[in-house]
Amino acid sequence: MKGYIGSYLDIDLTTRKVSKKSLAGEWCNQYVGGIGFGIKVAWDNIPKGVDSLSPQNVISFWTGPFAGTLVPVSSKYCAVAKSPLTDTIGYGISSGYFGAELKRAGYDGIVIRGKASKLVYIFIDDDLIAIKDASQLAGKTTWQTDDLIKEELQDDSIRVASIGPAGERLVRFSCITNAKNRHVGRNGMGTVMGSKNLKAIAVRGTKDVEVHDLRTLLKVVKPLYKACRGPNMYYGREGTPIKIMQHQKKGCLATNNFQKMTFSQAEKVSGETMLKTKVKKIIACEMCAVACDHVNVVEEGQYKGAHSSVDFESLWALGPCCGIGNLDAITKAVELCDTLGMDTISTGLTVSWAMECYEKRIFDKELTEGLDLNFGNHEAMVELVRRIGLREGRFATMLGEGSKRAAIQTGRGTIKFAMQIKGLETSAYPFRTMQTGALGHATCITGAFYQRSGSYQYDEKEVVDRLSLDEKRGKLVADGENDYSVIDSLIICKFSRKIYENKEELAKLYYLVTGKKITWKEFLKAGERIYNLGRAFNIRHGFGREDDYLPARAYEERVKDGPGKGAIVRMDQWNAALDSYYEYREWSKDGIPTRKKLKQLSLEDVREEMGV
Amino acid sequence: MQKIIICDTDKCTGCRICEYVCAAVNSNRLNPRLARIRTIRKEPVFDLALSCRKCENPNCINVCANNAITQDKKTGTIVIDDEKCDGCGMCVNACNFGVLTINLEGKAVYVCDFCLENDKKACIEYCPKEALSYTTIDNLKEPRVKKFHSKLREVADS
Repeated sequence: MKGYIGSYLDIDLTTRKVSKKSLAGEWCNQYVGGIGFGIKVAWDNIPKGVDSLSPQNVISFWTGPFAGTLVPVSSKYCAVAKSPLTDTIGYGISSGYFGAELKRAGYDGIVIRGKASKLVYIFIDDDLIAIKDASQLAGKTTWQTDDLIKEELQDDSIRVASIGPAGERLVRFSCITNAKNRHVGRNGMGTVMGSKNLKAIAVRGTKDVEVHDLRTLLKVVKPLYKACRGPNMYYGREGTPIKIMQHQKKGCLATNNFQKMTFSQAEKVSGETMLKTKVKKIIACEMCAVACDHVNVVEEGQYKGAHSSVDFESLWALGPCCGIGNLDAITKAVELCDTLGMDTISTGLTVSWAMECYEKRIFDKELTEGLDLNFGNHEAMVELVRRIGLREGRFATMLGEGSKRAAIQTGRGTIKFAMQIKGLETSAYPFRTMQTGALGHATCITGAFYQRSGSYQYDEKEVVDRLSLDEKRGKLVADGENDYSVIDSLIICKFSRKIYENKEELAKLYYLVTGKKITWKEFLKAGERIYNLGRAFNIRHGFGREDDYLPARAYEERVKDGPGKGAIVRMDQWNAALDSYYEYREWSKDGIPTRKKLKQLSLEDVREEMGV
Repeated sequence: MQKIIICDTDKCTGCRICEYVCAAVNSNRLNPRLARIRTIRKEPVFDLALSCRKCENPNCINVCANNAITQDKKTGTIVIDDEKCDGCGMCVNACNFGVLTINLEGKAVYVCDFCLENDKKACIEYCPKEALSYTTIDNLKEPRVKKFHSKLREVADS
């Protein structure tokens, strides 16, 4: 099928064996691409009991049929493995230039197994694959690694995806960085690379990507590029941080580790302020007409010289959630996360967890190794982020395990302050004042994350009562998950969702690219299959209904401030909503996909393998 | 003065759409490496798309041992005679902007021909930020002077 290259690399780092394998056509029909392929590979290769940091874990990188074509916002790739942070299926999606370049090198994806005996990087130069010594790159930041590899190979057009010192030192929420400020951020995919002694993957691709109907595609995409700049597309103008004030007004700006829902200094860190005072340039990823990437440069003061691309989630996690109203410090902290190679959300929320422990006098200055971890202390936050990334000192080393493990290690009820589900620190859509979002966070197969169902949008648009739950929410969440599983498998950016009149337009693009006619409904079936297989992976690795719950704070403490004052997640409503979700999915009350459902999705074999 | 493709670096985002559509329209293929225009990024905040500058007394012509390269007197466009070009790459080496490309599959080099002065240039038409224009450097003077004036005024006001 056109669009797909039809082959992928299978690399065993232990034996240094590289094989080129052809992509089964059946995969394309059943799993579409991207995370669909990744979850399938994880299911087929990672049996029960495999430790996520062991050589037996398998990490795979996948593009979709659209990468390298003219389809807007499509130069994306994902990394999928068992997550060291959650022990569930883990994945993240990045953009930049890497995905399309991999396709032009002649591969839809890369599967990596085993563990190299010392630090290496992989260079994919069209048909030539080399596993190269990376000892000179040990301890280097992601930005340095990018530059040094290009220098060594003497070609600036090479695209590099790498890990920083955090990944090498197995900080559990390490990311994979490409194009310097694009990341496979969540679930510690960089940690898996680190555990395999794999510092980077460098790609040079010089071949064509073939599509079914290039002439028509050229015509069809033109108005879509225009639509990317349309009136609804605030991402490319004001940028995602515009949500800071929107959340503030709704009582959804989680502050001081979710103890408050409004932030007294919100205006200081608002998108409007940032755009006016810090943003130096707006840039884009390959084949993106939206251009959401707002690059901040700090021009004076103690953080002078810091520069990073700051989006809403990063800004919130390292800002309001830590009580910090200083854009310069936030820009610096994001830069540290980017260069040392860590997920900004998990980093921010692990720091905010430590801050709450400090404020509640569970931690003292001796334990924090001299850091005065009060909410709002930006100097302490920036220093702690640096220490976590470098695993410097006992305290920061503990935090590098993520908030859940750190809380278990600390004990004394501090798990209550760890704002995570299944070990993944949550995103900027607070549970009590965005309850449809909360359900989506809890059922999410990778842990608390908004980008797997988008169910928070119902709360945002106020089409449901966002301060309570009912049996209608299960369908909203499940439909969202199926939809997003397709989007993440085609892989296109979710910021492009508003440019299509309806989803059939995407199916039409798929036809122009691949030559295969398909309806969106058929796509959704694949989405459902992908999500069910992800759920089956988690069940195989010991997860169940009891893991689909929110942090205790959501059920026990009422919101103290803002328009959502008094809101709480009622356990009876929660259970009813969760039941409705399982029911709609045709899973058992324990959240296990039924035999009937699996058969319907052509996943019969999965039932036995789940181990229930 | 000759018209060339000029990129507003403040608007350019480095999305490479100009490269993709150039290769698609001119080579009927999807491969930005075949484009006659190139994007360049220098982090953190510099992006530029660059094609032939139509130099006066161009280096590419001066170094060509086969007399395969000429310049159209009226438009300034560089013309490559595929029959005479043996793909030695001296012109690629000599160009200060690196905008000539060796065609790895054939012997001839290629360079932006400004779509033969056709009004419709894919790179400009598809640029989502309207960062590209086909104009003379001279035409840029007025807006630049105005921009500078307003900057001066800002400084004076503060």
